[in-house]
Amino acid sequence: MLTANLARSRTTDETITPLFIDPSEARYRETARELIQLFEDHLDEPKGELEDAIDELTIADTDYKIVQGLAKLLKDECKFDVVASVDPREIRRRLFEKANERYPIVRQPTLGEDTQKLEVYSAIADELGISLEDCYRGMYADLEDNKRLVRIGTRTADRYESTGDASPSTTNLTGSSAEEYEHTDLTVDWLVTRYNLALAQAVLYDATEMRIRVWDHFGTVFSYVKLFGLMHRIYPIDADGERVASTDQAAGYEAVLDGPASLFSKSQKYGIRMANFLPALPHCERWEMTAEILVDEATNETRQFALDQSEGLNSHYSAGQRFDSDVERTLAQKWERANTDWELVREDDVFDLGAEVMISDFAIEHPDGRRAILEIVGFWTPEYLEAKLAKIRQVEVENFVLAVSERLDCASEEFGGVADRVLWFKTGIHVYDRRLSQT
Amino acid sequence: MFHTLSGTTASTSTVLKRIGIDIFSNGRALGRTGTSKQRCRTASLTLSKTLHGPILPSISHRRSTSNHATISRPRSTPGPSTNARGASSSRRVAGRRSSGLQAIADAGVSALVVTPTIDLMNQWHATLTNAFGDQLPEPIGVLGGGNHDVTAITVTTYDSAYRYVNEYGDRFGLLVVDEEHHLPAPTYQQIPEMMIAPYRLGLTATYERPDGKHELLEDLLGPVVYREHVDELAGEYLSEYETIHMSVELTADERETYNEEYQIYRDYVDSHDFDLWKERGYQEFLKRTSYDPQGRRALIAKQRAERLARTATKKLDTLDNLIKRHHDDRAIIFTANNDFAYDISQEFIVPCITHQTKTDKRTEILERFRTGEYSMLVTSQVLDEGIDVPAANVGIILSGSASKRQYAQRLGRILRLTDDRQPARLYEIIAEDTMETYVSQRRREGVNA
Repeated sequence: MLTANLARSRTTDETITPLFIDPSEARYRETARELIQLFEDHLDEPKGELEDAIDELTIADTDYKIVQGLAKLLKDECKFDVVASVDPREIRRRLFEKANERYPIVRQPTLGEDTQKLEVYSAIADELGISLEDCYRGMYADLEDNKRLVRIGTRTADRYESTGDASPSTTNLTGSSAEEYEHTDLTVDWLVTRYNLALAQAVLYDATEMRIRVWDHFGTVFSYVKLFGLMHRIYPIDADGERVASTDQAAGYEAVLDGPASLFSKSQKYGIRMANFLPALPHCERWEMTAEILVDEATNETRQFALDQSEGLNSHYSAGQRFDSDVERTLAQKWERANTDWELVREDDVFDLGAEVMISDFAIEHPDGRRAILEIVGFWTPEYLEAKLAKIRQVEVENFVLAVSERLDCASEEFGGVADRVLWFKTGIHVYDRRLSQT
Repeated sequence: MFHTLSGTTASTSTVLKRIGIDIFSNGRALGRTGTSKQRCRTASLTLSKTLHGPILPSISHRRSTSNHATISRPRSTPGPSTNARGASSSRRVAGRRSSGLQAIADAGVSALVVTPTIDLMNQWHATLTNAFGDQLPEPIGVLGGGNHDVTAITVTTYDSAYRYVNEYGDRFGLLVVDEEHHLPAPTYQQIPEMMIAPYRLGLTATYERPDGKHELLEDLLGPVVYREHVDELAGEYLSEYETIHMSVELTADERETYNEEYQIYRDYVDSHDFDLWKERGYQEFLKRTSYDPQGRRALIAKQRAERLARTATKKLDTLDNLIKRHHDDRAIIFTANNDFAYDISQEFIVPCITHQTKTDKRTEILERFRTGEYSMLVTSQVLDEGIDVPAANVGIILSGSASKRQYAQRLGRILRLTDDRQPARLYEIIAEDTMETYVSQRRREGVNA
């Protein structure tokens, strides 16, 4: 994604619009081609040299923001690693210690006792059993600029091919690792269209609210709403986008998503998730999005940002398949192991509450016919929870349970509402068999 | 992140009540725990430790008129110059910090100390723990750098303070702002604006900002209540020092490239009517570079020329000689950019600190320099802030910017009393007949003024 300084948009009195580029325009395609080539040429080279080469492309180019933006998206697909045979910190510690005994270390010795750096480097290289070059280059191999480009997209530099990539897995309450749902081929087409999407995403970092209307691919879209843990309210709509009283009359759905700027503590993390959601929309044949974008924090002034399928944005996310959050995955695993007659069933349909719908995650079914619906809530505020509970109570759904993470609270006040339908959890949902614990 | 916030809210207020120090509240935080007292309670916090270092004489504290609990811009109370909302301009780190401690002890209210960097936050934390640790039921709080513990006396960074001021702005009776010259930045201004603390103290070695915005500080914190001058300090606390200006020539290759690039820049600014020595003229130039390709090229040309002058190879030869001369001394070498600092570190095998150096490593290197394990250090601009740099008696400025502020602080790094009372030395090596020559002149004028 683009950093805020690489975002490009135009603001008028009412609207804010990303400054999209024309993906078919020759000069952008040429820049994209040049950049991809540049990255490939720098495989196994230090990051600093790659950055210098990118800067070189922008010397007399006032479009440098575009160049740097395209480069940023490519960098997101790259892996930079410290390449050193011995921990650079260890090399430095030994070098400085040795050097301190030998000062002055000079370039042009005038006296017999003056030391030259070579003596120190080779002494430490011998101590560590590494080559002089490894010692010299390894000394600062851990600097950002000296990290090596070891992988671009799926291409790994030959010498690192064999080393198994043990990327640390992080436990996320919402979302799963991006590799699962993002799909990228580093082509000129991918880069220029990805760039436009990234410009739109950057505008959304400051959204206070986002409204989407979709008329197809509901499953995919809602699955991403849930995956990123966004606060949402979903209403059935007709072909013109007007809300209707029940799902029977629905031709599509409208979803209102709370933005990061509407939360009590503005969370960058949440803002990024909101932006992360956007690429799900272009999967639909027909879609509309309008967002309120905060342009002045002091006055709470906002501008409108509107987008629909006519912009020709492309999604690099996979469609159709459902992606579980870690919470869902572990719950399913725990259920497998638990000794209970109740069965955990994936419930992917919308749950009909009349003029509003909810997206449940699981149904819990008993052989005797009893059934409960479980929704795992992502980020939340008390108002959001209250509204959800009120809705459930209003339509008298007895068996609807919300699982709410204590950690994803976005409000200053504690939740004061009746919590009999709320199952609180911290990092994961436990599975107990009631019969066993009662006896 | 959110869960920690809601978790600490209740417990912090409880603790504040228990130890009986002032709580200022707009009703929100305390209202929830059932107390609606909005007035100050009496202070029971006393200072039992002896403070080390000079205690500045004229800082005393006076309660301002705005004792009621509202979140508003503090009104500057007219009256004696001993208003608690003071700005103290002291150049020595230890001196500034003990002013802060004294203020906390005298005010006897909950206090928030705001610092520019994580490193400084850690140092304040150590100082505060040392001074007050055994008098408080809870440790000194830390807000920032991955910590989120808010207690009666809490240290934080500007960034974290800005981020959380809407949450904790009503918790503290005293606001201490270290390196207060950062405060006039638009975002940071909101820290004092959104705090209800009637007692305010700002500390800095460099009150004046080149953009003149230090004038805002009077509104944000109060008038200057105490000022120490470089000359006074040099006589009283610091060793005498001499400054030696040296210049080097560019190599033939460097000179050629320098002239080419400088000419591109010069031609561009001459063909447009910028008054570059004025802030506005330079802004205009920068603005043009965003839409005029030639302007952009001119900007790059200027940067390249500057860089060439700053990192002139012959500076390394001169440095070579200085290192020979001073290898028994304790020397700190300053550069303007990281790359050059690392180059020197590799060339002369000298420990290096830049903004990329991790906090623990930086502390470790400084500690080793303090103990004498290391006798030399090379650094880019990170030491410009008031970090306690162990005394050195030789400073070598290889390149730098013209800001008066930076220069004063750099001097402050070096001009320490050495054991044998030998005069400290400051070398400045500049590239002859480049932009640096002008910059160096301006710098000296700045300090003398």
